[in-house]
Amino acid sequence: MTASVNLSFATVEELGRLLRDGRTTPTELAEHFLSRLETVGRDLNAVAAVTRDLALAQAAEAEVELAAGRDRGPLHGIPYGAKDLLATSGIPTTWGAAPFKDQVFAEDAAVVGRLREAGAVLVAKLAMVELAGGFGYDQPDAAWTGPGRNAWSTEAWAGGSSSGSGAAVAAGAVPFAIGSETWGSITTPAALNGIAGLRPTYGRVSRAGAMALSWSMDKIGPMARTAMDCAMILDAISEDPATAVMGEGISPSGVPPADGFRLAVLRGATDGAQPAVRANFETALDVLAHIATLEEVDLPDLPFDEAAHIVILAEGAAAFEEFIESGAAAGLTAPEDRVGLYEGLTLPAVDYLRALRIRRLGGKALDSLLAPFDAIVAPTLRGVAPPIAGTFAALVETHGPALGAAGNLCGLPAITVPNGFGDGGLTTGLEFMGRAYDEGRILTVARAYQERTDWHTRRLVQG
Amino acid sequence: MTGNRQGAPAIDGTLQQVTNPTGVVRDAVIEARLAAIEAAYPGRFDDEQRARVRTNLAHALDLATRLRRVPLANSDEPDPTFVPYRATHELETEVAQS
Repeated sequence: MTASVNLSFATVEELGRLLRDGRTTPTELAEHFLSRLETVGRDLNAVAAVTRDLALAQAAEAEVELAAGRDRGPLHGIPYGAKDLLATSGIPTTWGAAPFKDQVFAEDAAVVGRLREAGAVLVAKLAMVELAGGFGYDQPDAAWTGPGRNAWSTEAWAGGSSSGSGAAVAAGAVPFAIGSETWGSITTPAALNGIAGLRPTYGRVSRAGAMALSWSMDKIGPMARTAMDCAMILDAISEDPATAVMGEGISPSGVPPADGFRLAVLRGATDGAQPAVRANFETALDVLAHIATLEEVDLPDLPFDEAAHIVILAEGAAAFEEFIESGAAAGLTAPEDRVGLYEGLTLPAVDYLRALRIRRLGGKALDSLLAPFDAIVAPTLRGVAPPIAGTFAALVETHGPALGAAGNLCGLPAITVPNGFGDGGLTTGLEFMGRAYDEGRILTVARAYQERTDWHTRRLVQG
Repeated sequence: MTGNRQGAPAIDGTLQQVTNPTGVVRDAVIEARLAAIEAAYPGRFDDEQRARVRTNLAHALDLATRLRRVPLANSDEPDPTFVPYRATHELETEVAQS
């Protein structure tokens, strides 16, 4: 039925058209991606659990509904994977950690429920760094599923903590996935695997039923092939449909305003970056210059990095206090995680509160900085994926996210899209970050960029 | 009304060292926190693990110290601020009854 179409790498938009044209069925899609998960997904250590029985049941239901003319929207009949920190009724939810391998919740996470209502088909729980990386891991091998392997090279890391979500989408094992980000956990694996990843504004997507690492910093968002796909997924999972992307009047049409977009460019964003990252960023700016005015800016001079660390330390230690006290952390995979967060148990309350006070100052300063702009743009990361073996603590210092600390501390939305290749044929990413609740605006800019480039259409040879 | 201590000079060097520890005081704070952890969880760490916990404690202390370089006014509130709880259904009931 679909011999001329590569289902593995089709966008959600394209799969939706195939479904409605009668060129494929939800069951065919489910079977296809279940097979991809069992092969390429397993090879990449991207899979925590394949949910075959549930997927086929949901696909059959979607098939009946679509045939009867009951269309739930663009995700109806589309398979997806959920990061394994999202609760799924009756299916293990391991949080990526060996001590929680047998954990089963009675109810679905809110985002899983919203996707069920949208008619999406859950085909897998996707692997992740244990406990979302909150215990201080500094190596790829920090999950009971093994080190997350990159879709473009199995000898490179997939990034974290949404490792499986990033690799599975990039490898054509799922059309889209749900990830989560406390500090870089959506944008990093998205950039390292050459896909789009959207970190929504804090609170835009319900955290109910998701593992908590940091109550005031955890965000849940989509990972897919394009900005447009991310927009459609966000529209389905957003907590408040009245303010969802499509309802804001800022539909990501990809069409620039008559006088062009206004983009802030982070000054010094490529300092210390790998040469290919710098070159790809400059090329991307050349593309954007045709549809936008560009103006270099500096981030407010505030210790965003330090404040974000302190918030996660305090909230993470509180969230996992019983786990740490019980000694169960000794069962974690990465040796450094087994002694992580003890320092959070002795953190004075005044330190945490000072970080929260600086967050308020930072939020105001960033909002003022970004008010005249549609987005601020920077390389998502300053390097490509590190090797699967060894540690990467030093690389995080030099090649980490340029906007990550400020954006995550202050809960601002950001999207990364692929913008080229670097060392070892590995992907690089371009990040657009906006004001709080301006997802529609950054998605519009990102879509416009993707309509003028083809990095998101590049395929793996084996795909 | 409550007095505003913001901007008041440090009472003495000891107070400054407590909130902005350096040198031997910094080391003492780290060792005190490590001792508290080891007292709470005796025998839990081997030498390598103890060294890593000490490094993590030092890192956390240094992060907090760097935060203190940002001048804050007494009125600079933490974010998020506390929101008093009120069950939504009670409000809806009151609206319906009014």
